[in-house]
Amino acid sequence: MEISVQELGWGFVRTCFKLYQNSGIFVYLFLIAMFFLFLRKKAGWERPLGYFIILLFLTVFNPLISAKVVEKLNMSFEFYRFIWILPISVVIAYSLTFVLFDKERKAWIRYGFLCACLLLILFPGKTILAKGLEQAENLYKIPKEVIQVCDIIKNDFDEQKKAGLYLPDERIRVAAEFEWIVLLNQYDPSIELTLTYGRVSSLRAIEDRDISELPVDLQVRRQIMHGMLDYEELGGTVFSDAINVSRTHYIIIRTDSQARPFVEGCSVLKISEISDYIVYRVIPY
Amino acid sequence: MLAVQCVAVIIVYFVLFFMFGIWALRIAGGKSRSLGYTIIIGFFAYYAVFQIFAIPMMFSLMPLSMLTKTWSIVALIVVVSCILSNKEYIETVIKGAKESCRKNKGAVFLIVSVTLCNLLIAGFIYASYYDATFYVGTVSYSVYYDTINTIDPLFGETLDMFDIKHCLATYHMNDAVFCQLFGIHPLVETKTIMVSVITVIGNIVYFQTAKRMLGGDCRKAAVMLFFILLINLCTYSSFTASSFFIFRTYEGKAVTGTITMSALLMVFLDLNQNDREFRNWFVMFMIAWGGIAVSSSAMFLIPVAIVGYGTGLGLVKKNWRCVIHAGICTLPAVIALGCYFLSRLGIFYVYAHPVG
Repeated sequence: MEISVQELGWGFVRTCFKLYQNSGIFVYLFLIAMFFLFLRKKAGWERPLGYFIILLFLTVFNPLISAKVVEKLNMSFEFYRFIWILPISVVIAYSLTFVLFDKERKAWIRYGFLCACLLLILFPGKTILAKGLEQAENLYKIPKEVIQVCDIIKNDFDEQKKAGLYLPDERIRVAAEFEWIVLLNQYDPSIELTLTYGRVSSLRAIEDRDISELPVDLQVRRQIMHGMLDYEELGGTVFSDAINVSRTHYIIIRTDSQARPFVEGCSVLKISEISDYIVYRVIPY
Repeated sequence: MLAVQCVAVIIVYFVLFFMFGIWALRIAGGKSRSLGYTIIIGFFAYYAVFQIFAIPMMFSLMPLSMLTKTWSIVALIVVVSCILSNKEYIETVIKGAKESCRKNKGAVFLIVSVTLCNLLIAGFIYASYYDATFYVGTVSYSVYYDTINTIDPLFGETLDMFDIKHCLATYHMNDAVFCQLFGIHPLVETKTIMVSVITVIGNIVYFQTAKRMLGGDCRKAAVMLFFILLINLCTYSSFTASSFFIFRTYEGKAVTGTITMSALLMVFLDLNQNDREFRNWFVMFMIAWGGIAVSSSAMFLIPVAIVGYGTGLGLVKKNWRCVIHAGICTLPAVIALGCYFLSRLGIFYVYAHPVG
């Protein structure tokens, strides 16, 4: 959300709520439910909870106050978390339960009202299916290819060490597709990454700087990033030199990756192909 | 075999939470016959006490293995002393839970079904967010290098100084301790074991809150729990607490948005019944403290929530001591906030490597 409290004031707060409930209307349902509960005050907790919510809207969700505080706390991008303080799911669920078991009303009124509320919850908004549910293949919750490739690389590296091609205390260094960069450090931190998630983010932040202004290791990483992740044609042996200077031992790319010509243009040996990925060992020169 | 190990570790967690909960309630000068309530309090007490040991060891650059050994001894002392000193009370609570289940079979069936449904979704789907690189990476690097939070998981390099905002929440270091203790992989610990633990505790908190709102009626509370699940599943956006609870359960934020905030509501309902009982205020303090130990986001949300609840109570009961007591309960969050602001001003900092 690239909007600031200073610029939009109430618009900022309203946008936060709008993004929070997406296409649904559950925040409105919560406020309506709370309004009626506050007036009803049957169970005894409705009034204090109602005052609590009023207080929140007078303070945290009041743009006159939040404009100053949120900027000071540097929380513009995390302001929506204050909405978590509102017991939205709980109050709506309580209201539905109350309607269901309210013996003072006729059954058809109760069930009719309940159905109407459920329809308003189920249909206007998005379900978790919008995010997509994919069953995990293992208890590690990562693609099995990651585990398989790590095993292959480590076995191959050990063999190369025994053959004297790498130093005894040298660590495996891998250059990989971005979706692997975010997974490899979680699964196996013994594998060093030529491009880490943090390094890619920081390089993106300084894209406008001339490469000659950067230290050598960042120059090399930027070239690898442009080749492997952005599929830029770097020309000559730039990519190949960068791979060698970075002491990368293995490269992992998709079989249909546009970076494949650059990678295979380096001095590499294909050691395995698993599912949609190819693993190359870099032959240093 | 790994699945059996996961189940065993999950059971260990719940035993620890139960034991810590019994001790916390004894210190508060009260007892609860409710197994669920004791586990909830124990959850927060466990992480609060863990933080006491983790932070000094972290800032002293001690190895993770030292924290693991220390915490194992502490946890063992708590469990053994609890069993020896509270044997009858433990038996009473367990008997009470069995009797409650026997009397409310329908409600129990619904509660278990809802929880299982929640578990099947959160526990078995593949959901990967870039944030996991930081949170799970923290655990992975700490276990691999045998350090306490000194490696930046985004860069794979040693930090210059500790990120005060995030390192005060030692929740993930407890994950690292369990990884070392039981030989579990960090991914299994965070994305399978803790997801399961948090999902179950989240449903326990929801149920306890529902009971209090519905006058103690278990049947109605079970139905309310079902409605909460439905609402959580059908109101998806990437900003809601429920989306964190389902897709990013391995993060401390998921605990803050669901368990901590709902637990505060639960205690607020208890305080509404009796705002003069010390136990209720102690429990609120423990939730605030444990909440800070779990997630850094809590240091912003907890003071707002607690002072708001205290003010709401004060207005209705015309007792302004509620606001004062609420203010005291926010102390852990205020201290954490203070450390954070001092670190942003460059006044409070701790090097993550030996200096000089």
